[in-house]
Amino acid sequence: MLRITARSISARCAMAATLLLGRRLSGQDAATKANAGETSPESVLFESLPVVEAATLHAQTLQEAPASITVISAADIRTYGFRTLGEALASVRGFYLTYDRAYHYAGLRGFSLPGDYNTRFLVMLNGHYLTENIYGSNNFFGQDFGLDMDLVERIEIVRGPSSALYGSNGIFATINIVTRSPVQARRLRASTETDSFSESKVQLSSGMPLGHGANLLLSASVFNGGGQSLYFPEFDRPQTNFGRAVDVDGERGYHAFANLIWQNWSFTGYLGSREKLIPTGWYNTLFNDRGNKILDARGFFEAAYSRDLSAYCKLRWRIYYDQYRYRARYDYSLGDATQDYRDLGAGDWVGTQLAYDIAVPYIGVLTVGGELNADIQALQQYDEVSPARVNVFSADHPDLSYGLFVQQQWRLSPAWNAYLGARFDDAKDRKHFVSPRVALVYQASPNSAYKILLGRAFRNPNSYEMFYDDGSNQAANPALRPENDVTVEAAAERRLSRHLTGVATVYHYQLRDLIDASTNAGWIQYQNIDSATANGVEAELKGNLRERIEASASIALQRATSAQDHSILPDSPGCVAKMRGSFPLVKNKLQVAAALQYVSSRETASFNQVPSYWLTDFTLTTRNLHPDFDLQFGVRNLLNQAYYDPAGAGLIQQRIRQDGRSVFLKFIWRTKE
Amino acid sequence: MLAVSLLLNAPLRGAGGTGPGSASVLVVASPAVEAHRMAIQGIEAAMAKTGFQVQILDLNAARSLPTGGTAWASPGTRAIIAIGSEALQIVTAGHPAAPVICTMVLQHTSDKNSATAGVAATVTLDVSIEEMAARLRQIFPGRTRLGIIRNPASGRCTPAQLQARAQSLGFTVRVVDVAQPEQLLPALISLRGQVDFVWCTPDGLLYNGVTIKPLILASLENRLPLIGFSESFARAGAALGVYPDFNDIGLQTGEAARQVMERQPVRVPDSPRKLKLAINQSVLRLLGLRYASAAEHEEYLILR
Repeated sequence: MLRITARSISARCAMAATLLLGRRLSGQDAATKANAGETSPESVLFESLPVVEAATLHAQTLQEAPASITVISAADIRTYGFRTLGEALASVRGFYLTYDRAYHYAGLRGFSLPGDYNTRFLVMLNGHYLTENIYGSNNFFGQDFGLDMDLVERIEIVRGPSSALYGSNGIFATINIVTRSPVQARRLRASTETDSFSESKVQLSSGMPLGHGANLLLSASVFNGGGQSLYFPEFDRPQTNFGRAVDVDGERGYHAFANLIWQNWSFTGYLGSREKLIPTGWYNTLFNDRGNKILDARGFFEAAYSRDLSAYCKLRWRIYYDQYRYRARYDYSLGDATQDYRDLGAGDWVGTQLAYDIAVPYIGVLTVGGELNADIQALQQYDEVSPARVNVFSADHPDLSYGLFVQQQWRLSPAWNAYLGARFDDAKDRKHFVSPRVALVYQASPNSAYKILLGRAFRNPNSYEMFYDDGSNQAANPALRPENDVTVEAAAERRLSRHLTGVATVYHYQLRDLIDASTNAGWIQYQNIDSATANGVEAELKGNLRERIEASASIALQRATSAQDHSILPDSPGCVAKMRGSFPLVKNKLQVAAALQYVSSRETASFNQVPSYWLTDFTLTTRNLHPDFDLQFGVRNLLNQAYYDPAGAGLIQQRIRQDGRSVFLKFIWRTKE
Repeated sequence: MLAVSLLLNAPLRGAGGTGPGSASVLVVASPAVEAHRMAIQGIEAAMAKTGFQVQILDLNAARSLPTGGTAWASPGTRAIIAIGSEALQIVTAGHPAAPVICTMVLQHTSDKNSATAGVAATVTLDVSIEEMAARLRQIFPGRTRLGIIRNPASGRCTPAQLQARAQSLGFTVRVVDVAQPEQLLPALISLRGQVDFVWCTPDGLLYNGVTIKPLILASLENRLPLIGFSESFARAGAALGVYPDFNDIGLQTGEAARQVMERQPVRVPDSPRKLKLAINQSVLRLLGLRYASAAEHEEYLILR
């Protein structure tokens, strides 16, 4: 009964708004419409009506942010053959990837500090934070990202600080991956792919209507790869196989994803696991030893509810359980024997978020909300397993945190919009923080917009940085403060012609209280020891040439320096440039795509140079070659360029050689609807 | 007369030579509207068999023609086809000597015009309840409860007449008259639990880009699948869209014009012979509906 009453109230509110708007519109229409086809009674049959998104019930997306945004669509993913999230991000203006043969790390605006496990980005899956509660990492960007790219509807990349809405970690960018709706999924789809590095993957997915409006999407995949035989000159000694790491680069794992939608509810299950052998001899472990490996497993279950209470009000609520496991084995030499050490990170937490959007008449949308997170465990453990069984270290510091936020849009005039927002975050074990944000958007015409953004963001110290204390090498530091950042950014977006759009941005970042490892006291301790600045400009052109050719080009020029000695930060290229294009052939049955990427030279942590590189990728994709199947073929690093990334933490190498030319082949099979 | 001919010739697009003595059919339409273009193609196809030339007069140009007299009756014009209600108004206001065939109009608007203008033939856009019932029976057998939301100003039949016609087809019908947009949602919600589908008949006052969103949201929330009157309505979020094939309406109109010119009897008004149907599969899934497999063999547009 209450439900019906609420509905009838919401219906009346909706209709009241409709009437107000409708009358205003009809007034405008009367003044502007001149063609008979638009005003005659039957013209309603010929007019286009706006698609109501709830009719496809897409998963919740980022709010429209007054920021510089890039969207990677499902079509882009398919056309350019992006097989991992990292490949997709590497195609985006300003982004560059670093790989140390353990993990892929993303860099943006000159920041990709060695030892930063992607902690200064915020990565979300349908609006669900993927940040885990031990190391504060935001998942990784190779196969260790637990979602298959075939399930992605789009990837939204919002540059700049987002802590005013989302809290910790949103310093450089917020990346939201939106999955395909179960309503749109094929009944059955299978794909298999293999590449010249012997990595293979099989995926099966199914969308099924369950009746009564419930729809389910299920997907699972397994992958396995032997990796490559690698040569590291730093280990070129007889006792370390002359620097050759053979059969120690493999990875294997699985991804599983389920999404059930029913009426206003969306239930999501996400689980991914990836085990990787480590060929680099990191942290002084045995070189060319198959025992050294890591396993990252990440999962969550979430129930989300979204409802338009009226034309003025929208409610979003979610409740979730998250899990993260890190298991690592490190083999050390003990004379002729092997010392086997195991590292465990085990995080479990629950949380809830509530957001309420209210359209304030004559002002704009007011968003208020809050979230609460409670750790069930945040366990870190380090054990010697053989020859003796010794627990070296064990600590569990479950935290309790909450955040409250508010954002108001102000329509200053038809052309000017202001966004004022702030968020307050506090936690049992961490200091409180206030993240304000102000943005001004000037929509000069339908073809141009100018934005100015000023924001403050932060990253809370993670459990590892605060509490890891093995009694010999690393000391805890519970007094760590959040590192924080103030950003000023201006962006201009302009439609230059019917088929060409241009974007230009200029920014300044000031990071303070950067958390980094200090060895001053003879052991490692994470401290707020540094500050840094980054300044840069970015420009991008994107459009369609002769209707059929999609093309884009971008360049990012940047300078990120330490405040202590004004030196360029490690792994910080001064220039990142991208070009790409695609066009159809053979009556649209074949899509040809090519991409070019340039990353200028970078410094390693020891101030050595890693040379610049150009990478060329090429992809051929069939489109409905057959009603039941399609094929994709790609070449990566087409010109087989030798290139390197600066080495990360724990490595004696200064630089890590990256993959040469490789090819892949993918076969996609699907049922008809 | 020369001035009128010049005026006519400027915006005219002929399908061949138009010598002073050649017999032609004048089509007054808005070629900017895609549906009108499709109908014109149908008319041209029908006329190609007869040897009559087809001349197109853009409605914008037609508005500037003087009303009355012989402005609409150049020597070779054997018939004038008005596409749409505004074209009909403009043409009939000129009292042309040539017979007028009216097409692509809703029946209630043609009723108002034909009474005064003596239109020789009319092809309407209205989908009859018989046609709708036949489609529903084919796609959703067993679902026979139909709700109809209509503007009383545009309804020719009384609710009792509609119910009687539906009953003879094995359907039950509940008709809700809605005169203003603010009555739309209460009308829709009043049908909850009583009907299997709600058919929204075309009405420009009730349905537009602003009113459509709350209506579709309410349809999803209340599990009331909508049947819209256009492909666009189905794309927007109605479960189905049932609408005329505009090209076939053109053919039908062309054939009616030929019958008129040959002084054969014609049906007045005539409803569309061929309907198109768009199925929004996403919405059906959201509402827990599945269409019969027999529908897959039809040339229905499946929107995914």
